[in-house]
Amino acid sequence: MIALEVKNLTVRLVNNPIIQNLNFKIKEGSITVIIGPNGAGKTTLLKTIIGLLPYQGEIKILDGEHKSMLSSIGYVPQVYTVDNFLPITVKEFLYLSIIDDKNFNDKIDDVNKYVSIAHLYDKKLNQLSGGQLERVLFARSLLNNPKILILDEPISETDISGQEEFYVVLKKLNQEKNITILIVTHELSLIDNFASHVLCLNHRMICDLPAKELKGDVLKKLYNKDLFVYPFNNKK
Amino acid sequence: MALILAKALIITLWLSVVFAIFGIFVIIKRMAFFSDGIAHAAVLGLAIGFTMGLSNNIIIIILESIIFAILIFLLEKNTKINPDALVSIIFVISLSFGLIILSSQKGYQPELINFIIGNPLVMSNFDFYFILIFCLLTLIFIIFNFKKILLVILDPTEARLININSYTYELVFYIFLALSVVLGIKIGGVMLITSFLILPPTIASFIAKSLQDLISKSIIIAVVSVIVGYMLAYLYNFPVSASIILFSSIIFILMFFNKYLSNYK
Repeated sequence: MIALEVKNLTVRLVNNPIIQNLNFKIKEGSITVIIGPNGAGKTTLLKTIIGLLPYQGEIKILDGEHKSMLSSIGYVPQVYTVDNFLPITVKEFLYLSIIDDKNFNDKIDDVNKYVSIAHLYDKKLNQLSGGQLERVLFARSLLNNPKILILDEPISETDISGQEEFYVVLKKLNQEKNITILIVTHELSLIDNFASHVLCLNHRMICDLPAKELKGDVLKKLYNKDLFVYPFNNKK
Repeated sequence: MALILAKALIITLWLSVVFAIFGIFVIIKRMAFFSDGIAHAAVLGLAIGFTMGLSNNIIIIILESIIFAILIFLLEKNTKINPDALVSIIFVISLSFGLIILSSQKGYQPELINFIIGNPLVMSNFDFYFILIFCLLTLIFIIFNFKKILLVILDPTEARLININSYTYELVFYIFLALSVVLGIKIGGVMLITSFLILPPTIASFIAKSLQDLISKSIIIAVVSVIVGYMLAYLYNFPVSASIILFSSIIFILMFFNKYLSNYK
């Protein structure tokens, strides 16, 4: 089954085309990484998929109509601005996002099995470190049992051990719950052993291929320079 | 006299509870100027009521506030004009129009002074029951929708993803807020009504340990301020609304220094 299908997608911001005529399909249960230089339209693409931006073309989620299927998506934003006035605790913050209130405790316990946040429940959101906030946002995206998880540079402020843990959890969620994952990241070294598919974006699609087939020449075309990133620079 | 005082106290307490909760949303969404604008724009409704010779102009003022709330909401969503500029333009147009109409009226208009500084002691039976029912309906609306309104205000993207109709909730919130503000003019007047919204939640935020704590402390601070304000007004013959705001302002200053000085220790 196809989890996400994008046909002839064009997105304009203030009349500037940020994304032009994009076409791709993402299989259910796959892990797809989107890469591309800054300003290539990666975040714009994710925001369009989650229904925040107007577009031309067609987007289908799980073979259904775009807007009606949005609740099957869990989303982790690139940036989240915490309101310093509001003394909301992590547990209260998570409670806001739950669709079915009755099973709230069961759901956060279930999420906590994957993303350990129980020690943060009573902490105020405005007192968390950047890495802790990213962990909470990741946990929040799992609360309503999403079928598709969309993550926009979700661990830019997380330390190295946290980053490793994050990718292990993501893989586990993919394998145990069959969640389709679409992630924007600049960490190219992860693609080889983490992702099943890679999309290279620079306003238009530069590549759409299995992760194992990503090679140095594609990266050179995408970033306009030679990149010495293991293992791609060794692949011919 | 005792009955008038009791009715005024009941209404002020009910409205202050509504404001203590609405104020949380107003601060997060930075809508203090919206509240101020709606209050000032109500002068037009008052002027139209005078011109039509109505003994009670509350209905005109309510209709006007609903129209302005919807207008500001729609312009905010569909134009690129800064929301503050938008509120400011609508508020000065209606205020100046209202002042011109009022200047053409002959004679002393005592209701105008009450409208500017507020006086809960001057209230008809109709106003009393109308505001009471409105407060009850508003509290029911807040109790059943608090989570959704807060999420729409705090994180519209997440609200959209979990199928909350942000557009409708935000519009309904604008209307309820505008209605609360214009009805609150009876107690706080055009000049002071925004303070009823802003002060209790701001003071509570200095000491609250959670969102739930913020709501309960904001309500307690609002209720205590009203009771102490009425006592000050009764004992020293001060204007009621000014006494309430002065008392909460003193708590604010004490809390502010306590919080920020303790950070430097």
